[in-house]
Amino acid sequence: MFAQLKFDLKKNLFSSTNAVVYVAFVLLLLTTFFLALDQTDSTARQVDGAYQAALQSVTGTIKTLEKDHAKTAKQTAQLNQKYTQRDYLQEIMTLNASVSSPVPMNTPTQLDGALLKYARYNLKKTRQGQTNGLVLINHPDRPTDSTVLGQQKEVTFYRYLALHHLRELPLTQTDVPSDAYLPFQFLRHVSPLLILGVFALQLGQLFTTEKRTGTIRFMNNLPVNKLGLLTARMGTFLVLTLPLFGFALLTVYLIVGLKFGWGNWQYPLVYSPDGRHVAIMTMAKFMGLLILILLAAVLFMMMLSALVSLLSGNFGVNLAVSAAVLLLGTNQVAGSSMGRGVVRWLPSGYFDFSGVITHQTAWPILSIAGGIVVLLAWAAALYGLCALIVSRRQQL
Amino acid sequence: MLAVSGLTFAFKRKPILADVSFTLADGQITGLVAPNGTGKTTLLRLLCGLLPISQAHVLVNGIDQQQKHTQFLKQLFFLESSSNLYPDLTVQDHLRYVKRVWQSPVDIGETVASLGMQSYAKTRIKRLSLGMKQHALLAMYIVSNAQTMLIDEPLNGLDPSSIQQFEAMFRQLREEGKTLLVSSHQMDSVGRVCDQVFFLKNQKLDVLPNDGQDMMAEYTKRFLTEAS
Repeated sequence: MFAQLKFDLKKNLFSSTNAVVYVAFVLLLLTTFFLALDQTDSTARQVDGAYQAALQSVTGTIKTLEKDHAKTAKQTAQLNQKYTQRDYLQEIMTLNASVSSPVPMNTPTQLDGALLKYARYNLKKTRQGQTNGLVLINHPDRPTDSTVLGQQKEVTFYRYLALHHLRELPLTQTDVPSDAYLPFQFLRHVSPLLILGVFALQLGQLFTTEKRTGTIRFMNNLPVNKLGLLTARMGTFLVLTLPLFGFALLTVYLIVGLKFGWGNWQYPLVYSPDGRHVAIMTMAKFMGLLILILLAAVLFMMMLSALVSLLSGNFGVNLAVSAAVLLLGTNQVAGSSMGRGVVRWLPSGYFDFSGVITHQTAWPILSIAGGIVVLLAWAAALYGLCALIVSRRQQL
Repeated sequence: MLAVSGLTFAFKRKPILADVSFTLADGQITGLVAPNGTGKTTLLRLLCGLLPISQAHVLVNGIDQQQKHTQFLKQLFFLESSSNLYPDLTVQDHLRYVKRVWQSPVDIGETVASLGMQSYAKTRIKRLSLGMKQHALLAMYIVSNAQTMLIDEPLNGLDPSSIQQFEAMFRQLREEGKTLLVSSHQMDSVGRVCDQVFFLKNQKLDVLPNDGQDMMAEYTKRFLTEAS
């Protein structure tokens, strides 16, 4: 098997598709970087605008209430609440302006502390059921969640930032340091279906090239088990393409790092694993889990492409089948009423990697471990089907 | 020994072979001759299992093509054309691979030297001329050390001295006891090398032992007279 793999690897090592695949990965992952170079990032302005909007809302209410000289007890309580909110928001505004200035007078940790205090205040009021007068900051990178869980996420997030002396990096920000850049790509900017699409391109090329060039006639006359040949081809794909993907990640990491700095792998991602509790995941853990589930999905795609190649040697057919399976992983299909019933048992339910990791898919899924098991089980089933077809052909 | 019985084959409505049976003995070179498009390559493909033989039986040294396909292929070498070689691999890569897969004791260096291929043994196939690729292909046959060799138009693109070299190699393989079935349009070469000739006509094989007769005249008698 190793000698077959070595021969197969040598055959495909100089294929120009390898360079195309590498460039495709790099370009996909660098799109946001190029945007950041081309235009000034507006996220800081948007964040400032969000703080300002919240403050204006509060001060507007204060003015209205202050005009009324014969206030009821309820109105007085409301005014006091608004004064408290104004104090929190003014502190946030001041610290944000200071931290963002060319000569910062305060540290990001102080800003984190101010945001944490406001988040705690909002959580306390939400828990007490006093949500009426709350003014939540509409952060540009995440939906405003007025539930207790949503407020718990805010508290957990800012507490972590404050404890680790980290400055908030909104997901929409494009000029972020390397350690956050790659996770942000998968969390927000690059569809995992596109990444899998590039893998499908390489797979289609690898599994149909022998038929296109005619060298399959040599392979078919070899006195070796044909499943061994197919398995060696799978090995070639893994040995060639996974390092290509790894090199692409490394290239992007270095390019972004040299321009925007390296950042911190301990930066947090706050999510709810069960819809009740809040958990924190570092960027390092997120990337680790992402690579695991990506590997499982790539294995599944590889088996699918191998199976299709046994039925048709046409590159277009191979790519079309892979594309069709990838389309099953879109919101429109997986999240449809028909899809929701079965999608947790299908590989396509787990193509939204960041959604699966943070439990935010628009359709029901198993845990991330369950997702990996589903992907691997399908991959094993497809391999079994390949073995069956090859074995029947050898007996004919 | 290659034994074939009851071989019938058609491409949709076009019959190629009708109940063909024959035996090729060890240490024998058989020429396979027919005009283009008659079915020479199809016959070779059928013999090694690239096309379905349905009810027929094809055995090499008693090993049935359909029952023990991998073992059967071990006894045989067939590569349709030098254009089926891997363009990015060198001649040596191909030879090493064949040697390993066929578990052959044949020395690659000696084979390369005997065919005068030293200067391009480490050159990628895509940089070779047709004649050089034909040499590489013949070297693969020799290195495989397979008992039965099905060779499809090996002399295409060769200069006269290379043709002589190839003929000498075929004779050497015969002396080693190999069974060779060689399709060719070079009737003079067929006459010089083959022990017998199969003329494929009307889906049947017309077997002619080589007694030194003029093979071009035999070809003309069977195919060109009818055409004129």
